Amino acid sequence: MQGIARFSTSVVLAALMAGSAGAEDANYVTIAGIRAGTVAPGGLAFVSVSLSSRRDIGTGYATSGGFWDKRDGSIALGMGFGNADQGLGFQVTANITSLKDDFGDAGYLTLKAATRLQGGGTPMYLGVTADHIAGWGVAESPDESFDLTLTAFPTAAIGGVDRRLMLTLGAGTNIRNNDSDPGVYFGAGMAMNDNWALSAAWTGEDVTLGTGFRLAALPDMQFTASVEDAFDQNDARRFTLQVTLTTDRLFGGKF
Amino acid sequence: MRKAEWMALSGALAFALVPVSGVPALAGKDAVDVGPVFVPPLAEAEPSAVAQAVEEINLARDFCSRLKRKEYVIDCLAAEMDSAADALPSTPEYAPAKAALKDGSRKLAKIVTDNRSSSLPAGVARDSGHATPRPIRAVETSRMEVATDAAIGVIEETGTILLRSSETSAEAAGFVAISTAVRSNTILLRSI
Repeated sequence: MQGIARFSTSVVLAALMAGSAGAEDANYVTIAGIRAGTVAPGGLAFVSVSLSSRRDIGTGYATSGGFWDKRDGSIALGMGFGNADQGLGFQVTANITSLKDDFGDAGYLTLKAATRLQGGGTPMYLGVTADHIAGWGVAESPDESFDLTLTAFPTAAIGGVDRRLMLTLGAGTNIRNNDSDPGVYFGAGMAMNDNWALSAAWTGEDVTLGTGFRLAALPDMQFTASVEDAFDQNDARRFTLQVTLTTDRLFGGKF
Repeated sequence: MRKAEWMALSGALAFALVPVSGVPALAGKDAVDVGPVFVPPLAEAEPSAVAQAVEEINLARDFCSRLKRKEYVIDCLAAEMDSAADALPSTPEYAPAKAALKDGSRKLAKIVTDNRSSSLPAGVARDSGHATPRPIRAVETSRMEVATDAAIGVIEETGTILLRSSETSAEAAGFVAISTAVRSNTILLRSI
């Protein structure tokens, strides 16, 4: 698995060189693996499907089977309300924790509020998240958790390109030790061009390396691929793919 | 939803729902540990200080050209040039441009002082929501040709100073743009 870390590094280096060629600025940015201090804009609904290579992490035992045999998926359905840029923005998310067995038989809600602390060239947002609210099925057991997250979006000239960056610092009540103890997380994302970003994040007890991209032909979709516990510090390395579809035309765009 | 988006999303769902053996369902870490990240759109670029100065100089030229009594045009330009200089940031990179505009404004005002009308009163000119930043004075009608020639000289000198400053400034393109805007005032002065 060490080859994966080497592969990730080589991808990052290749990406840096590719992203530097010719472009004057790079604006697509994201961070995989940690929360952000932002919320969905008011009126925007989203569905996010995540596929993970391992679902046995935290169960106390390792399952048998090949690399993809342990896979599972989750779905997040949500929408944004209000306006974080002009006061308060809110986001409500319903999380379906597994795509196996009876679909939707376990899940929980995530409530999030955010506000913009400063605008201009380096907008900064503060978000408060209440997670694992009103859980059902086997997802009922985790207690509610709370996060405070600060995210800024500066721009810096790197490699001759004005790149949009995303910097996040957060703290939560359930971050470490299999999401049971408080902890701090932070991360940085960097735009490689207008459709591709790379990120690295400390999730509280390990590192997640990620990349996000979007396609010009699919402007309402975003794709994220990440390696959680990238350096296998907690024997929890896994790969996660996330596809997010957004729309501001739900109910005719009138909600 | 577009067909391509449906295909991408349904493909992802189908992959996830393929039956898997040996995995305890609904146990362990969720695949969606954190939801999607939303990034605010880039703020619309604010006009640069140079762009604002150029726009202000061009607007001033148009404003001053609409004055019914052409005796006020030179002091109008002096007042507006001073205002444009004030609009530039007080940072080292803009200091040469600021100084050139201030100096040009002072020289234009002195021309008016040296040739001031004894009969036309000073006053603030207003038109289409814009007003001169200070009361402007008129040149004696019989002295207009002399005053205008001197004013053209000041404008050209100011433009030249700005061009020279551009050669040593990191804001070279901006200084050239300001110089061009300032020098366009000679067309106005030659037409009165």
